[in-house]
Amino acid sequence: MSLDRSSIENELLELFAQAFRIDRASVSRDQGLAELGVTSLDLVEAIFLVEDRFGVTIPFNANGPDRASPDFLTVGSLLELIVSLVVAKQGGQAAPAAAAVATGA
Amino acid sequence: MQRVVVTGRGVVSAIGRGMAEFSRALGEGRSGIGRLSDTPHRVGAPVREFDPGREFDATKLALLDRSTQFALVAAGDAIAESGLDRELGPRAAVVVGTGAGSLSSLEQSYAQFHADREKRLHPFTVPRVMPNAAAGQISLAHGVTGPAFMVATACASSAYAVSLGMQMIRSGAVDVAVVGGTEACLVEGNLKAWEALRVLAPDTCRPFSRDRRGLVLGEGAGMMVLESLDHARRRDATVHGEIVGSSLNSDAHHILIPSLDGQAAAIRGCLADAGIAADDIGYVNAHGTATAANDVTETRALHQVFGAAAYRLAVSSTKAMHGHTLGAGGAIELLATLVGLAGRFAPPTMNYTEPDPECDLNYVPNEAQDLHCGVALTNSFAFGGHNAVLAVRGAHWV
Repeated sequence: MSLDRSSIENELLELFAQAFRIDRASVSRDQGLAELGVTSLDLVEAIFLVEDRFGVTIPFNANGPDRASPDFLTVGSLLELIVSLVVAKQGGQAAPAAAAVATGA
Repeated sequence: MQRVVVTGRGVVSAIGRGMAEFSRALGEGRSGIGRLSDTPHRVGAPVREFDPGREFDATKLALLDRSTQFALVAAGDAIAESGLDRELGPRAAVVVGTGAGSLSSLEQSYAQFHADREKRLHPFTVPRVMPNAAAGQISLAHGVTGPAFMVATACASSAYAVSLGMQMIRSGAVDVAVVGGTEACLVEGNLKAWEALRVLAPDTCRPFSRDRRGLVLGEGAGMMVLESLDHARRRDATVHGEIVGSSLNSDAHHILIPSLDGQAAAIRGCLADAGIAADDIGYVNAHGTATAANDVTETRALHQVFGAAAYRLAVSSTKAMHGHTLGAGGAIELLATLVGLAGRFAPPTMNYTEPDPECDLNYVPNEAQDLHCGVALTNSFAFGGHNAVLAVRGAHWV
């Protein structure tokens, strides 16, 4: 079942609210994850929920340069990264090769 | 209170089976990390060239998980080196640490079971997979009729085992303790679980480097014979070092994230137990897993305890060579520390690329350094918040 961008985003924001233990209404795109008190473990859990729900692979290593990568900086940047992976998957394309290598999975 | 010495050593690891090969690798900076043959997209530090068929006869093998095999081989070597060649009897103990126990046998059994619920399981499944197998098999192989048991504190398990053996000898409960740890969990299900935590490095293990990307799992066993100094002297045993002190504590902070206070307290506690000053320490074998969290926290803990003297320490993580061997790590790293003290060198931290401003000590990058000190520390800081620090004196100074 193919979802449009805004449905994907809504689901993601629900998942973020759950994983980051924040009020859905107060989540805004330009908020920094650090500012919201999101630890790298919270992020790992959120990524798991997203991967499990959407069947995508999100490149993230809790130790290396990924921690400081712009993709994982704000709610908006994280949304963008995941939405583009989900849309790519629905388009029938494989997840980008870089993603599989970076996780070491 | 009895002094506790090491009279026998045995090791199975990615950088050598037996102390001679292990020592050479540590001095040369040879790393055992590479692509895993079953799953080449993953890296690990497996024990290569270990042929169970050569070590054990076929009937015995059915009872032995790979982790138990490693433990038996390492314990056998340690006891052989000690010269205690008769049944060890009631005044001896066996204390073995492990993180995952007989995980590979468990995984195989469940895989078979879920694939076909009707198919019979091997009759020895229970004794093979039971978590206490290594302690039981070692006591059986060497006639130990004193206490024999396993210790489970994740990556601090075998350091806890060494400390407990030491404490039993100090108190006079036993004269001899066969102690250490074992781990053989490089199996697919377990590797997937570790990947999910996102702490595994995709390339290699770079402790304290700015571009470190996490840990690399290894396997193996490290075992030692501990004895009271009196007992060793009475039978004219060769002494390979002394366990002068230990500290075991818990963070009570987070189930995964390390605590600076907990680590510093463990280091301080060990110095106090050993009755030595921070200034007397020349070398620290770090826990040094190459995760972002550990390496920074451990560096800060060393700064807190050692103050200005921290900059005079040689601090290295031999995990860059033998991998993170989880439950076996404390013992394997203690053996590496004894090797360094005996050979008067600090084993290097391999794969070191660039300094991290938050990790500013002498990590002995890439090449062993001369070491002239009598006492060293080895740290183990584990998931669950379990910390263990051991203080060891080199043989020359006992």
